Amino acid sequence: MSTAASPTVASSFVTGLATQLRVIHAVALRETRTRFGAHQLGYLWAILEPLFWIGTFWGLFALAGREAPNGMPIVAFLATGVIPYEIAMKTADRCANAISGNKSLLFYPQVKTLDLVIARGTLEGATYGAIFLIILGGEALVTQHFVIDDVLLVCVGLGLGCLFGTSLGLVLCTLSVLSNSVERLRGPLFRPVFWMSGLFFTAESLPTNVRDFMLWNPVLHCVELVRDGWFASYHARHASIAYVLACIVVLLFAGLTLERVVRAKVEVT
Amino acid sequence: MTGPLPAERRSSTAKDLRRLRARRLVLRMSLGVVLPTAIASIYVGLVATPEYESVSSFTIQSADGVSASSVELLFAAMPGSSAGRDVLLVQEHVRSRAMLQHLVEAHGWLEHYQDADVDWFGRLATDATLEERYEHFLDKVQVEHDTQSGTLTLLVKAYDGETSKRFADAILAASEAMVNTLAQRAREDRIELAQTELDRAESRLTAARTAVLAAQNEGAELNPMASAAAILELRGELEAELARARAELSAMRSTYAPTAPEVVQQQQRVRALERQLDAQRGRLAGDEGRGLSEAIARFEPLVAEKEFAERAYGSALASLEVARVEAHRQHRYLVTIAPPSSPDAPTHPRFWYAVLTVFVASFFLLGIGTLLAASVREHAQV
Repeated sequence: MSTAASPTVASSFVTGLATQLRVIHAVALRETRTRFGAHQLGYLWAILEPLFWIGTFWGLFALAGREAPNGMPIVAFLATGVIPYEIAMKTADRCANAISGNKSLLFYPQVKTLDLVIARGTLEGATYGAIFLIILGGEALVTQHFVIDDVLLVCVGLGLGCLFGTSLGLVLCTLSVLSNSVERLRGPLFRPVFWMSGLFFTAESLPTNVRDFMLWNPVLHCVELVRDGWFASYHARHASIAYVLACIVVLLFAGLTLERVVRAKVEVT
Repeated sequence: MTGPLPAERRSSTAKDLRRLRARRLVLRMSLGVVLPTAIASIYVGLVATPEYESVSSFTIQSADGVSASSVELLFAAMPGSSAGRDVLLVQEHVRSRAMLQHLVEAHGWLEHYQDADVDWFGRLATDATLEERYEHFLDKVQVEHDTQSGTLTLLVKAYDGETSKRFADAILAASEAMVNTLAQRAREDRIELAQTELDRAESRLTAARTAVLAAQNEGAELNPMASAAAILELRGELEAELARARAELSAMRSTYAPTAPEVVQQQQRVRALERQLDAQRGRLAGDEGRGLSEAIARFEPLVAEKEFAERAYGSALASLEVARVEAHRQHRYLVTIAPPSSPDAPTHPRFWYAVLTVFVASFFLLGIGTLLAASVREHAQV
């Protein structure tokens, strides 16, 4: 874009960006109130849910007498599986509902459909990033062992997970404007991902043919990346940042295009 | 020109706007999509040095034949089966810096990839650090592990078919050498242990035998136990004889006069028997420690030691035999399933694949950028 050539284009971009950031900030703040508004424990639920999953799998592992692979501590192993999964799929889930949950906000001319999705994606990313720190920090306090192998890789894994979730959510959210059945299909479509994202196994431990199939799942790549970064003893040989990025680019392109297509329909209703 | 009609003006400005938009779109597309695609196709199609890929596959076989049972397949990645673990070891070895070092030193790895004929992007810089060389090495040599069949597939990329085959051959040979050393060492360790055990038992047995022999020399008694048994038997017989003689004597005394020649004779017989018995007792117990019981006391531990040593020697011999069989059974060797192919046509880079990837990626990225920028600018129009 030749922004330098025409100052009006550049200035409109800057003012637009300022407005958009303000809108996203406001919507995200509002979301913190509404997200768990109905529940008594409020925001605490966000941290209780991953803890519940970690506890369940911990119990199952203990019953089966299984150890976490590659000498990883069991709680940290499960936490690095559950939270990247949640950061991707919970974000997708929340973003998919962004329009239907905030339709009234679209009454304000400054608020666009994309802002709602971005606000939810940002909020979920920040929430689960904080939860990641709290749970693994707590684990470190208990075990007195806190060594992160590669901080940047952990951030990349979580960031890619959040971006993937947001892009997927954007696509689903725009599609749900076109057809109601998308919302119905979302649950059954998301459920297998829970079992296929390496929450309680590593890609390394799978037989080749199963692994080749599982690696189509970008969430598994994110989980593997986070584990690679977190544990010095684990190397995610099969995780590919490029693959996740490709998924994000395709989904984002589809989502942004669809958003243009459906925006008229949203504003009418 | 006279002033045109307002409707015409509106339509002309609309047309201008549309033309402006179209021109912008064309500019954007040509900069963001056509240009990268063109660059990519020029590079891939004309500049890039084609690469040949040599494919081979191999596995590690153990003499016991069972590399992975059907149950183990379920837990294929659990390093339970040693054959499966060996495959992983070889995979690690192929991907190691030591392998790169070996290729650099013995097979002219650097010379091939730093060749001036290779295009600038693909070429390995002459001043590349060890880490850069290793990254480059991992890019050119790939080894995939199929957990189900336990085979390894080796892919080697080079700038001509001959060389890729040569490198693959070298890697296979080095891996085979490693497997052999590994198996050899395990086998030697095991047999060596059994051999030392056998040597110890042997020297113990020899020592025990010498001690027994020395004691025999000293006491001039070949087998004191047997002599003692003979004496004991003799003594028993003498005692029985004596008892019978005494009984006869007392019977004679009641019928004959005490001076009768029969009685005297019998008395002499009894006395002779008593003397004989005393002599035998003396031989057994002995005076001043020269008797048989002394000799037995000296012999007994030596004989026991000899017996133990014999038994230990026997078991050591058996365990050496077992170790030999076991070592032979656990012998591992590298089996080449498919020897390195000698490719006759380049496989990398794939022209259409690369160009299409660049086209689609740049198109999508441009689309995302445009749409995001537009959505930002929307906010300014309110």
